[in-house]
Amino acid sequence: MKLLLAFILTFSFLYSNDNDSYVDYEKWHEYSSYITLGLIGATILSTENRGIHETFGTLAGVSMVGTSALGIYAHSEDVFDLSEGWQKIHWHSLISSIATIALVSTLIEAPEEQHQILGMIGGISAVISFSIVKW
Amino acid sequence: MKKIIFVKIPFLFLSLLAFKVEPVIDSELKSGCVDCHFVYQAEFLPKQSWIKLLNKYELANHFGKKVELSKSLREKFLAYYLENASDSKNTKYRRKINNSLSKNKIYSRISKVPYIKSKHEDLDKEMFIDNPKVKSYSNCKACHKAEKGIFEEDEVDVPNWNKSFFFGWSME
Repeated sequence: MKLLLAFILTFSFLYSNDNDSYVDYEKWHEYSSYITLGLIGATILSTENRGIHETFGTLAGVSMVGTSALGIYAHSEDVFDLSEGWQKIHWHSLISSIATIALVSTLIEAPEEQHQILGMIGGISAVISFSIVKW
Repeated sequence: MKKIIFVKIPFLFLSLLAFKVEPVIDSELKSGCVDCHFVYQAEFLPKQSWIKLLNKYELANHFGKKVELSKSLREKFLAYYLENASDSKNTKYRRKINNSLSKNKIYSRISKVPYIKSKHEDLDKEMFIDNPKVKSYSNCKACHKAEKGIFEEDEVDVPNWNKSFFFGWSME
């Protein structure tokens, strides 16, 4: 919880802009997704060192939850709006929800063997979700 | 299975950052500004801004140029802008604009609206000011299908620039 708060406060400090105190949460969501992907990558690469792997894994999970929360907050009007049919944003939110659930489950399951599969599901779905937006 | 994947994937890549506004279809309105720019849609600014911009004294020095509109045309413009301004109706895209506005400020430029500004400020200035086919942030139609009211991110086409998946925007 403290980590999540620190994450949000850091972003609010870094990305509060001069637009008459307007805060673009859509941008926060984008930037936090870069950090999350970086942390997921670092978690995958640090499997040999348990301490570092745990740290990156925890940060990746917290960051993923923060990113999802920001995404829902910033794009709530689009995510829950199906008036124009099922669109790219709906795929993005669906797959990133799977990624978030999988990554949080990974943290809960760790260090059991099963957490690797959940971690892979989380990591892959996070990358797919990101790719849908960036394509 | 392969067939399903190939059929489904194109549907994944529709638009994410959707931003559509109603295009101006009235020919009299469309021709009113055409000497300098296309007719900006009303949704981008609140009523107060349009009232100020269409004030006859303001039009005498409209961003450095004198605009001469007949009284009836000016009133027609004002009626259109007041009826469709960002704060005239409670629609999704209007809320995005409206929620970003400072209550104590009258905006004269769409490019200064915080929501619009925020969407463009990270992009390289060479894409705008130094791009001979764009030159100005106010030249919306250089990159967007502005006259049709389509401002979606996936529909952006910056002249002389390409967008790639891994490297973002780069000069041709």
